[in-house]
Amino acid sequence: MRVRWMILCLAFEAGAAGSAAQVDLSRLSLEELLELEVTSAARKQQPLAHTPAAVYVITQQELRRSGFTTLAEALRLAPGLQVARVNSSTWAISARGFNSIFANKLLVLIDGRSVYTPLYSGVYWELQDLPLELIERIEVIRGPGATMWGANAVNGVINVITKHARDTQGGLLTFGGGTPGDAFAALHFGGKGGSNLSYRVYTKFDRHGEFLTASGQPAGDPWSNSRTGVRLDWEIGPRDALTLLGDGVQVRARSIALLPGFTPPYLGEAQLVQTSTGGNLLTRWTHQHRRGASSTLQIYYDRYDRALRFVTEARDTIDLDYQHRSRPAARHELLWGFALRHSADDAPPSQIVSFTPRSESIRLGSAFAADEVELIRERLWLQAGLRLERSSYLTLEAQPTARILFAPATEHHLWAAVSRAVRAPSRGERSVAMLVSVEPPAASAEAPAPALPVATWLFGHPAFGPASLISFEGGYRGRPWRNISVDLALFFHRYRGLRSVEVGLPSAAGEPVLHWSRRYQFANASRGRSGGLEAVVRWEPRPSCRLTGMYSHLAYEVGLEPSADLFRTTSAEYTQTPRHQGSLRWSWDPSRRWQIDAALYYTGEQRPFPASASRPPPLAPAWRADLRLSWTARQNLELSWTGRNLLDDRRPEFIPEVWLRQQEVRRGVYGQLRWWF
Amino acid sequence: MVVLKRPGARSRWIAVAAWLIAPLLGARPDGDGVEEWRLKAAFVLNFARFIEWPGEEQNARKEFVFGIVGETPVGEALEELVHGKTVNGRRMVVWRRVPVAELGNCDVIYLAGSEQQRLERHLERLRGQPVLTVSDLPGFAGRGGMIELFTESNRVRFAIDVRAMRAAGLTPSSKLLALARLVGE
Repeated sequence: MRVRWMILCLAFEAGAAGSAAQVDLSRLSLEELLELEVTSAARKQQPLAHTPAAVYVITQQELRRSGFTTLAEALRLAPGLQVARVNSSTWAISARGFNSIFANKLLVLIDGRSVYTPLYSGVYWELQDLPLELIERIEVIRGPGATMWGANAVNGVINVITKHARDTQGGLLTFGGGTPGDAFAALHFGGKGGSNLSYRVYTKFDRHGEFLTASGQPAGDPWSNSRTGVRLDWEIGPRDALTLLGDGVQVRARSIALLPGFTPPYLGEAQLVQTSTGGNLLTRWTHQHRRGASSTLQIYYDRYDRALRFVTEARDTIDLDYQHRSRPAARHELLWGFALRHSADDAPPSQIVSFTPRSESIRLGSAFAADEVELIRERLWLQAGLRLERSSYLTLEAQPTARILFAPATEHHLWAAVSRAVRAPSRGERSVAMLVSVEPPAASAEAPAPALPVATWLFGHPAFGPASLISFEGGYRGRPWRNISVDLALFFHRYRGLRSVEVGLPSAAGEPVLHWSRRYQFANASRGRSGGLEAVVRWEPRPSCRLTGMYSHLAYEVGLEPSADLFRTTSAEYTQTPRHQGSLRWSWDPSRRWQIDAALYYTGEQRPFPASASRPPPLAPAWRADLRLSWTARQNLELSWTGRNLLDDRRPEFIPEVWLRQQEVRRGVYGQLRWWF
Repeated sequence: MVVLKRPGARSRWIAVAAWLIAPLLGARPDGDGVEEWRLKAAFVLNFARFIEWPGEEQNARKEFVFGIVGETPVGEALEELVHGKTVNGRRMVVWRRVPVAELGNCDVIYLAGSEQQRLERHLERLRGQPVLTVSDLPGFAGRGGMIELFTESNRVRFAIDVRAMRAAGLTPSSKLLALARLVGE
């Protein structure tokens, strides 16, 4: 049995792993099955228990039974992630702390395509809303994965893998709707062109209703999203496979922002309309060499234009990734590869945010090698790897990892790891100029006379550097008792070079009105530590009944480097993460036609850091309950009813750090129909 | 002038060319391919269709349970495969990580390769109960197991120990026997 290298190999061989072709294999006769050829066993999926990392896999079955309808919401199913919906179309999502609407330490990949923006190293979640029916699984890795995945895989990696075209043959129509103002429809159809070529096309549209303001008024933030895509999988021969996939997306979202201005009232509500379009095309070629080696070449192009009134970004990315896997000696498995990326943007200036220069190209190159050795047969494995990375924003950085897995008995696995990961500076941290606030004339005691408005500007630093993490992790995965499985992870993270700001002296400025201008500038003078525990316990007393409990604990501390000038520097790593989080999910099939799913989620008190007098008070601990009922009316027809946020009429999930108002999610109920044809 | 090329280089070139023109043609290159564990799951599903269990009438209302013992992707593949399907009117379900005490409550047990050392113990527990045992452990049929899946010239085959199966009260159809390699006759 081989250990899985952080599931990396699976991401590239997404098509090969996982679910079976329902239409195909189950309808074939025994004679036909006997004629089918087996592809190389090298692609065989390894069980999760053999991965020496904190990994959780959200399966298609969990997705379907959760009742979630967007990708971002579905991440609530994984332990150790913080998922907060800020307003109808904005999410703050992070792993192991540092959650913010600009959360920047998470790497998110969809079918091997990186979807975080180098503008601020965060993810536009509203642009990534794939139809959940087409997702085979979501691998959520907490902790650093930089050796395997490259920069930004600091606190975690989310790896969304869509189904092989062979597994979505025939058609599926899904539609439904409910309160508050949600409606959705999705259609996909798959077919074959010859015995080795399968394809599918999909299209979906959805509309999401508004949140409420703190006073219970409609928040004016509905949004809609339409997406269309294709996938083609071709087994060219026994040794070559080709995948071609592409998506196009269009998003229109309204929201109300709080924007600073130089005229009274200095902070005004503004109705914003976001219109975004995007598209991508990816091709991946996998070749099986003799003697079990394989190589994968992947190239993709991605473009999006995201226009908001005060931040507009258009970006073109082209990326090439090569990976080779072989067994150079008995008990060894060697993996190596390289990646090249070119990303060019255009971010025109607005009154509030501008970037200098307006357009920039970022180049990135990296190479990695990793070896896995089975030290004691079926008992002890060691993995060691190193990635070297360089980019326009990064001098050569080494990101090593060492991992060990010990199986004292067949169903018990212990693992431990030490790794280093680097977060590359974002474009914003290098070159932004942003108007943070304008204080009315007399309001500021520290401002010099005469009384003028005081504007606070935040500037990027042209030499802003990377933040680095050293992480120590360990865990246990196994089945200690009959039908109970346990996954436990402990971690300790140490960060250096985190973001801070240096405060400059006010100076007088004449444009657009006479005012004092206070200048803040990014620096790397913060450091931090965090530690915690993540646990998943699953009890399956009957095949038709499953109970899953999750808990995560996080403690953190962010402070300044001893060398920092204490009078001028403050930490600028916004983090709003509960100390305790948990969930309890129960799935039950009372009869062959009915399925019941109930889930309870707990989020502890959320205290923003750094604290600020202008922010609302901390969010109190909150519970959330979801319930889903599904009825299979006919073999190809399923009806379901889902209730979300059942415990509260409305409830805030996050305190946004800038620009956005605190808004509240509402109770919702919707019905859904699925028809396979 | 004749240029000799290594066959490897040529086939690689063809693959590259194929890659480029893939979207344009509905070409049919030779050689099918299915991952081994998916194929094995399909076999397991078919065994349920071609074997008769004792007391089908009393069981008619119950679910038909495939139990997976040990870690194997076959379980996941089987789960997807049986989703929403029935056999003799019984809904099929897959129970991954089935507890040892519950082995007898399954209709089919698939033993993963990781169970090598505990094979005898599992089989002892199931002795005399109408539970079909399937595995890809080498020599499974012959060591007390009923159906062994194995690979031969890149295809999946199966061997049946008819005596073990009859001892448990299971009746394989003649079609199944005709396609199997028989052990212990």
